[in-house]
Amino acid sequence: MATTQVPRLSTRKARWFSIALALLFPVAQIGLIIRPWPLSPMAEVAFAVIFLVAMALGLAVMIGTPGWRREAKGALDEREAIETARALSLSYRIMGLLLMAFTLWYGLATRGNSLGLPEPGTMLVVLLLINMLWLQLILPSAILAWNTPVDEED
Amino acid sequence: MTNNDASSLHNRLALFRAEAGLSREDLASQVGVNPQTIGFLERGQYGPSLELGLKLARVFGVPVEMLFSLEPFAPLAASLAAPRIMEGGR
Repeated sequence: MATTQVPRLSTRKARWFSIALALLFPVAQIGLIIRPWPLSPMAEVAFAVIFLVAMALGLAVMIGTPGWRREAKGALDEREAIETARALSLSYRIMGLLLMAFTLWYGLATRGNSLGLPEPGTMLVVLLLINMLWLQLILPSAILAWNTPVDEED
Repeated sequence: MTNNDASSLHNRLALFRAEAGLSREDLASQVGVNPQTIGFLERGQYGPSLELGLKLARVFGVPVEMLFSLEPFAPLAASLAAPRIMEGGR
């Protein structure tokens, strides 16, 4: 059965999208979830738009680059396959370290908390998990985009 | 970097491609890779597998060691001048 391959983002676009995502996603979370100050309805709409734009950029990077998405057999040549495997391997290690840090923090902060760590309230835990989820979806593509030299024909 | 441990691998791919009048796209389609990969190979940013090296050599009809070498290739001018110097010396 013939499959339709989603067109790939160029390395340049993947880089720009990943930078924009890294800036916009935290801003949206501050406005919509953390809410350090009362927001006007207009500001809420603005933060919601920022959040949607960040989500769209994230999805574009995730779907438009090799990394997390499944590639059809033979879609990547040997160089691309090696680069993708390296990016996935590095992402796996980074996510492993982050999960280790998260577990360590949670364990220490809920058992005496002699180190004065931030209390793991539900909001903070959910926020961190949401960010880790997004990070693991985007990280392979972002690493790939930043590790691949931008070719003059790209 | 995308280097596939190619720091000690030298090649004359750009020279052979130019002489054959092939674009990167033409060469890439003949050996089954992305045109960008040809650029990375030519700039020494990626070391090809043995299979790809042999495929590239086959396109130009030369032994693989004419295309790739562990030692730097002599400059083209020096290579061209060498036989003449030898002939002149006889």
